Amino acid sequence: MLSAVTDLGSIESTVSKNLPVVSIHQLGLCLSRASASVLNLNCSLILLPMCRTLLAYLRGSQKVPSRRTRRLLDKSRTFHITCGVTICIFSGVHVAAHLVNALNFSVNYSEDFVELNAARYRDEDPRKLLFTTVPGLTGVCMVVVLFLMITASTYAIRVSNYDIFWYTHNLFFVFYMLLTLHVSGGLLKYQTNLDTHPPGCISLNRTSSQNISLPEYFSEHFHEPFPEGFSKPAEFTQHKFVKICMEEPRFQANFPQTWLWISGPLCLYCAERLYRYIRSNKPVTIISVMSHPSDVMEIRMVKENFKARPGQYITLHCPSVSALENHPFTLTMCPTETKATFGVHLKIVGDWTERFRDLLLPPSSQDSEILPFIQSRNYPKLYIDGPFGSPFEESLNYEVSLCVAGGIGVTPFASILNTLLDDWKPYKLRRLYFIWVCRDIQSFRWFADLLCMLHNKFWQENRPDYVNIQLYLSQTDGIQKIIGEKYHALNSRLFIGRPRWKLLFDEIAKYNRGKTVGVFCCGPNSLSKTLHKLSNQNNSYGTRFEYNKESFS
Amino acid sequence: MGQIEWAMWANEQALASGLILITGGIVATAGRFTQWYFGAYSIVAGVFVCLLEYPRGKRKKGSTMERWGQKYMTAVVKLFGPFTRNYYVRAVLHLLLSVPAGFLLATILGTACLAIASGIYLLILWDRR
Repeated sequence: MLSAVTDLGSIESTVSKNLPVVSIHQLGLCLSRASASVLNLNCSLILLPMCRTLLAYLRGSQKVPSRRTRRLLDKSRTFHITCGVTICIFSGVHVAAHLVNALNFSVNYSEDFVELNAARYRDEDPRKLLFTTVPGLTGVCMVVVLFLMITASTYAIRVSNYDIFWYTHNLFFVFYMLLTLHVSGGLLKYQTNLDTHPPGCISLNRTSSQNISLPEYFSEHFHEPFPEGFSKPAEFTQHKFVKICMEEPRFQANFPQTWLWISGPLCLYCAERLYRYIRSNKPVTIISVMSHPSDVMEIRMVKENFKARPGQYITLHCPSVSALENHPFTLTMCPTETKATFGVHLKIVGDWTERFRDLLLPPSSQDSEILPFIQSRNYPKLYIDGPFGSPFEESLNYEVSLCVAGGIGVTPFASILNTLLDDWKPYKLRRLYFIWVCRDIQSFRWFADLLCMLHNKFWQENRPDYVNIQLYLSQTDGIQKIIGEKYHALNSRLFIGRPRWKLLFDEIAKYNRGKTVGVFCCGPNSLSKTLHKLSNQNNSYGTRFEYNKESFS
Repeated sequence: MGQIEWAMWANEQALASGLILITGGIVATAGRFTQWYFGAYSIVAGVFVCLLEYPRGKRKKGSTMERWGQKYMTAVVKLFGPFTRNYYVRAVLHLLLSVPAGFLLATILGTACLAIASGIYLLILWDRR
């Protein structure tokens, strides 16, 4: 917005300086130039949140020590969407203004300043102007591309048919190429010989209609109330002297500013994509595939030089399943110095995951838990891209963290728990409240082993209050109390029904007075909203709850 | 690719085209372009298309997010029965509506966008064959 206002101000002064007294157009030009400058800024900024590897690097590097700055990175998708909406609105303004300009260029064709005109002759059909000039044609194509991209980017389409959104959004590259051509038309010009042909000068070769007598000219145009300091109108006209034009005005096209704006981010984004492509070109080696209850599959794999922090996610690409689709999954186990294996847990929900499961676990052996060794030679090729950052990485940097998981949303926290199992001392975290809400009791078996091992480890190290586990079964179905004798520690922490969040928050606030508690939630939107609201409420113990929001589509 | 429900996208496109037609029409009538009556037509056509496409159709599988207040418009659209339910009719209707707006510069973009939406509806029919 600021860039539009300042540009509008400077454009108005430039317009009055450079355009002759018989002006071709005023408002249309101002609006189109102002909206163009807003578009310049937004088209350059919109690419930056999409450089996900760069953002993941910034999140983890020591150069960003402040938590507040890291939290800004959580909002990168929202920023991208805001820039997109702004581009949409100001493109509308820009197009409308230029349509009016096109008409004015043809109707008010000025013979005196042929170079300044976009039209080639008076009353040229504005539609011809639109389709036969480079800026016009590229402009129309850009509007069509933008139309396709925006209609496919609405929330309803993203949630229901992500493919349409993804394939159309890749047209952005065409949009940028067209934009580069659009500004190269050289339509906007500035005068190069202002000293020999200043604005408002009188040409001695003009016809009588232009040659108004000087005193009349000045008295007509300067008959306004004078500011203080001027004594008489007569004195004023005496100080003004006549300027005579030495030569005809010469114009030269402005250097396209847009190239300067978009070249930086575009190069950065292309470099990032190239880096990601090179990095993901080598396939991973699948070590084991396990089937878990409630339609969940675990894959463990290794890859050379793969490093990831707990809470990050990767995207899987399996050409045997689908040549073009990439799907993101949070890492449930990160590679450490001693063990290079990392893993993901996938829930089988759509056609891609179904086909993937059928390739890895042939239907005959889907009931057994671990695949026989003989099948490992037939695994399809799997490529991964990442790791990319997420807000959940921050949970290890709070002194006290509250992690709430809904169903399969436990995956980011599983990697955190695995890391704590490995070694908890290097991190700032001293107390973790882990709440897991599920519908089906069998779901808890995904990580029951991990939770028990963690619980036992902290009991052994005499830090029983480090991890506080609470499991909730939201759908009561009767016989669901027992999940196995060896999970005794979990059985005593299993509750039936939904958690009572207000009481929980009060309890956490009471036992952690004056501290800042990081709240993390990975689950359905309603759960996220409830926790966000509760985190922002004040409590009497002086405890601050900071809600860290993750956005999924 | 076969599982994509194009109808939802065509619906969004037609709704957006309607808005573009209305905007173009306002620019044309306010600016008093020559042949500005095309601009007036464009506003009327845009409003009609918007009202027709406002109710979001039900998806084949999965839940559909309804647009705010769409049940009032759905009752009106349902009155016309097969004329509005059939995609072929919609495709042809959009194509015919978009042609007159193509004569005027200000509304030519509305023509292009509505023609694309009509094309997507035709793609659905071709896909179903």
